[in-house]
Amino acid sequence: MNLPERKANRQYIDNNPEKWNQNRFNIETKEKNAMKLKYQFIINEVADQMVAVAVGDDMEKFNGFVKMNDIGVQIFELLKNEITLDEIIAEMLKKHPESTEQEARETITEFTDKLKAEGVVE
Amino acid sequence: MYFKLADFDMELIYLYDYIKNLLEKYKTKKAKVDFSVKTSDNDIETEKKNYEGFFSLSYLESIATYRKIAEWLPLNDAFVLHSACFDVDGVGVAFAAHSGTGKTTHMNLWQKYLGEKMVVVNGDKPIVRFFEDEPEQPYAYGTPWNGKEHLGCNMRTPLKHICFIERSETNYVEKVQKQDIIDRIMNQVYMPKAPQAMMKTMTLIDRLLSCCDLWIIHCNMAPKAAEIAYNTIFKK
Repeated sequence: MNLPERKANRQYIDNNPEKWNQNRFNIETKEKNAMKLKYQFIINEVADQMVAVAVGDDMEKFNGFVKMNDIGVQIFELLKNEITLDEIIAEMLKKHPESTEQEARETITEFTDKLKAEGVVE
Repeated sequence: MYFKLADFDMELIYLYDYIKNLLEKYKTKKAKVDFSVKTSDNDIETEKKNYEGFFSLSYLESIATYRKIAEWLPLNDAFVLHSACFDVDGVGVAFAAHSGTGKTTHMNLWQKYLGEKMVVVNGDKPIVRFFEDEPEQPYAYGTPWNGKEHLGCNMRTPLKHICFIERSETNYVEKVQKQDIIDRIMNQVYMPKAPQAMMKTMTLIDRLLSCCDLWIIHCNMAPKAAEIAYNTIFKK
C-alpha cells in the first residue's frame, strides 16, 4: 500500500472532523490527569524514615520536607516525570502484585492528594 | 587572613574589617588550607534580601561568610546546628528549639545552677563535626557566630545530649527516640543548596540522632527547671 503524501494525509484528517475531535479530546484528557513533582528533590533515610527535601533554588520555593515510607518513595520517584494516576497504579501493581487495583488506587490517590494539597505536585 | 574553625584550617579574603575582628580569637598562622572563603558584593547583596531592616554591609559580609562555610561543611562530615550548646564536666549538651522558645533563658538557668562546672561553647550556631577515627562521637565547636549575646568560646565538647525545649507550666523531661523528633531536628540544621551536600547533611543528621541521647525538656522560667532537667539527664 502506498502511503499518502503528508499534505494529503493532513487533508484527510482535516476532512474527517469527527476523528480529529476525538484525538483532541484524548490529548486534553491526558494533560488534565498528568501529574509531576514541581521541584527537584533528593531522598535519603533519616531516623529510619525516608525524607525528601527540595534542593538548589527550589529550596526557597518549598522550604519543607516530605516524610514517607518505601511505597511513598516508589510513587515519588514515578512523579519525577509527568505521569497519570492510572499509570502510577499500573506501575505500582507491577511492583506489588499482591495488592488489588482498588487498594492501590486508594493508597496512591491518598498520597498524591496530600502532595497536591502541600503544593509539591502540579 | 588564616583561622581555624572546628579544627578546619581556613583562609579568609575579606572586604570589611568586621569579619576580621570577629575571627580574632580563631586566628592562626599561615598553614595548609582546607577551605578558602571569599565573599563578593553579590553574596552580600543576596544576604541583604534575607534580612528586614538595616544591617551594615560589614555585618552582612560576616553572615555571607558563615553561609559559605556552612555550604562546604557537609562534604567534610560537619554541619551547623541551630542550638545553644555547652559543656558540663566534659559532657556536651545542645538545646535546640525555634528562636524565641527559651533556649538561652534555660541555658542561663543551668549556668546559675551549675556555676563553674558549666562552660558555654556556642549560644546560637555551633558547628557539629564527626571524625573518621571516632565515628560515634560528634563534637560541637564554638564559633564567632554565637548569637546576639555573644555567648561562647573557642573550644569543643563531645556532644552527648540533644534537648528540645518546650515551654510548659510544669517542669519535666522525657527521653525520646530519634523517630519522635525528626521534624524538630530537620528545622534546626542548616540545609545546603547543593544536592550532594544536602544528601550528606541528612546522613549526618541520622548519625547525630543515633549517637546522642535525645530529650524533650518541658519547662517554665523558674530556677527549679534547670535542677529538674539536669538531674534527669545526668541521672543524679
